[in-house]
Amino acid sequence: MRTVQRLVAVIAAASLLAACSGKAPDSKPAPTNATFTYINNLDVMTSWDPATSYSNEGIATNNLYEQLTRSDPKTNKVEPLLATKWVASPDGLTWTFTLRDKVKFTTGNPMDAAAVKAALDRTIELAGGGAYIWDPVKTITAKDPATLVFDLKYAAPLDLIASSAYAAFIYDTKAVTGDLAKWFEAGHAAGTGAYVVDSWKKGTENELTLKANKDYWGGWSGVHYQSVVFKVVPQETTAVQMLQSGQGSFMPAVSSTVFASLKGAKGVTTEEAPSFQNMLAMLNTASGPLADVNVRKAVAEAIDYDGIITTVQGGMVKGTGVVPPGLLGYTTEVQPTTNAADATKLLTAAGYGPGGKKLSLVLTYAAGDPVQETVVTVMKANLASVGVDLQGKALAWETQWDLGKSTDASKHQDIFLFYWYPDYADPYSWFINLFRSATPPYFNLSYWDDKAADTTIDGLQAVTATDRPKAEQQYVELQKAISDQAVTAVLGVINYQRALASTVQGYVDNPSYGNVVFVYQLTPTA
Amino acid sequence: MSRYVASRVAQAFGVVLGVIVLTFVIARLIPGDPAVAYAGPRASAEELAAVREQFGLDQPLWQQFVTYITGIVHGDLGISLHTKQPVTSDLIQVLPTTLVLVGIALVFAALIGIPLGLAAARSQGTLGDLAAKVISILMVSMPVFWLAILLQIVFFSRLGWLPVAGQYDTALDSTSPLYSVIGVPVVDALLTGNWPVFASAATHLVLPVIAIAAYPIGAVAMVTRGALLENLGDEHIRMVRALGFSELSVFGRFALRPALNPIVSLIALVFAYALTNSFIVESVFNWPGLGSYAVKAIQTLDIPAILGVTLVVALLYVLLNLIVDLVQAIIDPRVRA
Repeated sequence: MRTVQRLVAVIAAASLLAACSGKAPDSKPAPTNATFTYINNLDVMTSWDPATSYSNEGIATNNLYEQLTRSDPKTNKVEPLLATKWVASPDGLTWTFTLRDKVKFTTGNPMDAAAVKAALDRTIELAGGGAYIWDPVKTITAKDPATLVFDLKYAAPLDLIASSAYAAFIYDTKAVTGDLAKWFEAGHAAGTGAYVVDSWKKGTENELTLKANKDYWGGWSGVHYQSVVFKVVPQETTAVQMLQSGQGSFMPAVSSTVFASLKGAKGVTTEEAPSFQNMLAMLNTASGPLADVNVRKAVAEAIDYDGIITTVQGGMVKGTGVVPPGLLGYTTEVQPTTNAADATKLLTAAGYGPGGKKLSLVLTYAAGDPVQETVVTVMKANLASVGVDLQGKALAWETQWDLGKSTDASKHQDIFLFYWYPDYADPYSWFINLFRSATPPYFNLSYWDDKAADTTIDGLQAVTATDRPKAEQQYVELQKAISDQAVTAVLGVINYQRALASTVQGYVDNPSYGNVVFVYQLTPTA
Repeated sequence: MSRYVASRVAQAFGVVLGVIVLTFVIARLIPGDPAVAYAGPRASAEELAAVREQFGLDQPLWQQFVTYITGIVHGDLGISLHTKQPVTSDLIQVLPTTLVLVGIALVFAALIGIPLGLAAARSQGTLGDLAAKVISILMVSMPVFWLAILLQIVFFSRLGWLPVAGQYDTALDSTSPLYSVIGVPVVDALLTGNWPVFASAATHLVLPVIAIAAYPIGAVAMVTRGALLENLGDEHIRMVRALGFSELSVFGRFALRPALNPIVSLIALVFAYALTNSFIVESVFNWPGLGSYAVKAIQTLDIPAILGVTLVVALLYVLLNLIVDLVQAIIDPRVRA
């Protein structure tokens, strides 16, 4: 059904766009009341509390709230935001942040050290969503109104942590005297961002409208969008028509075929950028035929990585190690290689293939994900060419994960296909979650248990905080070990394919913040 | 008649109870943890345990069923894992939107389909009959998803006559603010005399109504034609004609009335079909009704919402069938036997 729908959508989009190609009109300054319309395919606000919010709403909340710092993968640096500077002690255990002066919350209360401490203390105490990022923090002290001191239990890169897209928002805990969580969930915000909530109409097409925060510390000189509308449009063809007719400004994700047809279309510009999200095939190192490292290596070598990238038509770019480009520890020293002859030799040595045992593997993946479906089809053909029967099982994520993390190893798959992305611009998340041993399993769905790797992983945050070159080296070494042991196959890095109205100027993709558009930074044109 | 009504009501109650039990069991048999759907894909083990406790998912299945049935009796269908709101209030919000859409589509289906079938029967064997048959077959056989997109491309992208999606032009909110009465803009605008919004909402209705009405129009026309032709061959029609009644009376009074029974039954059937089609049409036209809600619920494994939607659709279907049975019993007393 989905395939038919996609085919119909592609044909429809192609016929729609055929008559629309041409050069976009020259840009002129827009009227001062310009509105930016973000077209999203899902509901926007599932949670309003900046402490526990951990879902789609990040596209809106990152325009309502700000963090102490902002990660910039282009420069590979952490930039000031509500903190203007910061310094870490040599042991990485104490971090002192200097706050921006004269910043107020939209409630009118000042954003000072006491307010920041209160917000972060509440986030840590509620322990929901992405709050675990603050696990290294022992105490937060408001030394004076402009100075905030973090004492840590163990060294950690707090400047990076403070830039997280989730759980790092600074908000006014004194926005109301009553139940703050209830107040938030009624559709209120209390941040320092460039926009404030104008209206929230749950379940309607224009779900959320933001308007300019006239007292924003960044000021409103120059041309900026004065309002932001988050429009929920589930159907891609409908969204594309809206974008082309000027009823929309931005689509965060466009399917590869529609993306290709939008290139050069009148009134639309396209952008693509590699994300921090990669697709991994976690190979079962603990049970089944893949417990044999040579069989794992054979499977990894049988996969046609270039073929996968070609087949997904721009939906992914080729990966190297586990860490995607733009993050600490990214390396080209680890490269996925395809060698069917070598794979056959390894399988024969392990007793499989002609004259030996028949090798059949079970791979689980997320149902309804067209990219995963395509990748599984390619892998099935690749493995068939070396005599391996790959059975792909499409499951709802909840089911896939439930089986993968079962305490009963007989329920485990041979290969677990899924995506991983970090909560802030740091590779630690891959290693602590996917490659650190854990019993019972949780996200370590290769079930890899390597004590030396565990020791290195446990020390990564501290090393990152105190000695980044050493941390970089350790990340590279870990990736080499993972590759040598064929713990996972990196199938590709997700490539964001966006579509914008050509009236939108100044858009820069920031993979640290997923699908967030920092609307204040854009310039509208007519 | 009262015994017949009592028997039909009892049957309808049994069907609804059966649907509740079946959907509950099936939903619980699906592998996968609903707590993950609520807490998010990266929830910690502690968060998942807390969610399971909060929603009673850690209770034995029979206890969960008793809680669910008790809730239904009190109008409580649980909390949606996706919207995090009570399912009952979600359904109260989305149901009128869909009922208005499907209701208008079915009225159009009857207003167009019956005369089309009548005209085809009257001109049997002519070019007009062939044209009516071709139109009916086209409407019945065209996939609704394709038709919806085609309508958008032709009437929005190419001709620019009608809006692409949504319920009304929200830019009117600043000039003609709409006050909610039942939560459906076209009705609210009519009831409050907000004519700019009413005009906008009416134009927004056109394409989704055509998409939903297409199949019922074709089906009603074909059944009307067939039923009429069957009746026209009957002896009583020959007698009526011999008595000198006008052709209009022959068709409208003597042939159509006995043909109404299958047409009324068909309308009840196509109501269910239209309701299911609204799942697709609402997605394409961004119509925030029961269909859109159901699609999101399915995508997010939102079991309380899925159960709620199933229950509502079953209730509507059973209720409509009950009404149809009663109407048929009035039209044709032989049905009661």
